[in-house]
Amino acid sequence: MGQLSGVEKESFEHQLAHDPELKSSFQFQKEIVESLRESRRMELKSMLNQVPVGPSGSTGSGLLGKIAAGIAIISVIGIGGYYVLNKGSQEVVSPEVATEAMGEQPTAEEIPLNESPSQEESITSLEEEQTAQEEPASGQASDVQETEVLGDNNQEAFAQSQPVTPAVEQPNFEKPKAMDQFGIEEDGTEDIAVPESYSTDKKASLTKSNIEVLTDNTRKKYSFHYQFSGEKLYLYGSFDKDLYEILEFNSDNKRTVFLYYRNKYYPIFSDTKKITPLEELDQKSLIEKLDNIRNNN
Amino acid sequence: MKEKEIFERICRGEEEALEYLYKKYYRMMTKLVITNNGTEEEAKDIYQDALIVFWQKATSGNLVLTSKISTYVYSICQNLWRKELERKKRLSNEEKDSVEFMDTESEERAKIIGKCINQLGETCKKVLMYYYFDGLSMQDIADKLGFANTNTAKTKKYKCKKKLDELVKSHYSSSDFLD
Repeated sequence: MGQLSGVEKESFEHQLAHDPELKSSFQFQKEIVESLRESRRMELKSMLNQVPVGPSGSTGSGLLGKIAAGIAIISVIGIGGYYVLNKGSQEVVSPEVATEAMGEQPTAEEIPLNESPSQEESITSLEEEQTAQEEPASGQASDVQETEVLGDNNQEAFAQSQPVTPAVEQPNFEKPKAMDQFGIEEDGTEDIAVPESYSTDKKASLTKSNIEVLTDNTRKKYSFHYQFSGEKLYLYGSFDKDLYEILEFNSDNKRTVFLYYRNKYYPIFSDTKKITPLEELDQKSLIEKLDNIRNNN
Repeated sequence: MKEKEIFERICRGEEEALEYLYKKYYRMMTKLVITNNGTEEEAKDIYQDALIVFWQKATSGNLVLTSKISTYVYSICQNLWRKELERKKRLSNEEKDSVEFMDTESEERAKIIGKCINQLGETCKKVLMYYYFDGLSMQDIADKLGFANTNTAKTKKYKCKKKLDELVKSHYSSSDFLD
C-alpha cells in the first residue's frame, strides 16, 4: 500500500527528471513528510526524556542495588555480632563472672575503670567499697572479708538499691592505709619503712590471699604496670603466671600487699585505680623480712 | 511484562510499552556507548534513537522479530554509534564548511514546516504523525484517536494534510520550491 513497483518507480523518476513542476511539488511533499517524521521523533524523544531511569528502572542498577543491599545486611550482621560478642566478653569483668573466669586476660574495655562507658555504676560501687574499707564494721571482720562481701554484691544489685544519678561525684581515692605502715608521704617519694608489724608482731600475719589476679599483655603502653581495685589486681605486661606470688598481710584493719615476681618484691597499694608502674622494693631489711616470711610459709 | 507482550503492544503503538522498554534496558544500552568513548548524554541520545527506530519498524508492521528485543535494539545502538563516531571523525578532518552551508538552508525550511505543524490542531498532528512516521494503518489510527471508522480517519488525514500544505505554502515563496 502506497508503494510503487519497480517499473512504476522507474517511470516516475523519469518524469521527475524531465518535469520541473513535478520535481518541485515532489520536493515540497518530501520535505513536509520529513518534517512530520522529525516532529514525531522529537515528540517520542521528549516523552522518553520524561521517563525516570533511576536504579530501580534498569536491570544493571537493580543488580547493583541488590549487591549494595547484601553488603549492608552483612555489615549490620557483622557489627551486631561484634557488639554482642564484645558485650559477652565485657561480662567477664563483672565481679561474679571474673572470679569464675580467673586467669583469663581482660581486655582494656573489660577493666572497670572510671573512663569506661558505664562508669556511673562502677563509680558508685567503688565509692561504696571505699566507704566500707574506711569504716570497718566494729572490728568484727577483716577488711578482706568486708570487701569480699561488697565484691559479691553485683554492681547491678547495688545500683538497684541506690539509684544512680547523673551528677556522680568523682570518687575520692584515699591513699591506702597500708602506706602508713611504710611511712610513705603524700607524694610517695620517700623510702618505704620497715613495717613493725611484719617483723615479729604477731598481729600481722601472712594470710592466704583472696585477691584475684588478672594479667593483660594486650596493652603495649603498659609493659610492667598494675591496677588494684576491690579484690582484683590487674597486672599489665608479659607476666609469667607461674612466677609471681601475692603476699598479703593483714593486721588491725590494715592490709599490705606485695607482688613477688622473679625474685623481686613490688609493693602493691590498694585501691590504685589508675594504672601504675610497678616499682621494685629496694629496702634490704624489708626484703630480708619478706624473704623470711616467704621461706617460713 | 513478557517479551512477546511488549512487542505486541509496541506494534499496536502503545507508548507505555515503549517507556517500559526504555527503562528496562537503559543501563545495558547506554553502557555500550559510554564504554566506547561516548558521554552519558551521547549514550542516552543514541539509545533513544535506536529505540525509536525499533518503534517505527514495529508499528509500521515491517518487523518480524527473530531475536530478543534487547539484541535487536543493541545492534541498532552499535550501528548508530559507529555512524556517529565516523561522522565526528569526518567532521574533524575535512570540508566542514560546505556541509554546514547546505544544512543551514534545508534546516531553515524544516524549521518553517515545523512551525506550521505546530499550528495544526492536536488531532491533525497525531493523524499525520501516526500515518507518516509510525506507519499505522487507518484502522489503528481510528482506534487510537477514537474515530468512528477507517473512513473517518482517511478523511481526517486528507483534510489535515491539505491544511498543512496550505500553511507551509503560505510561508514560502514559490521560488523556494523551484530550482
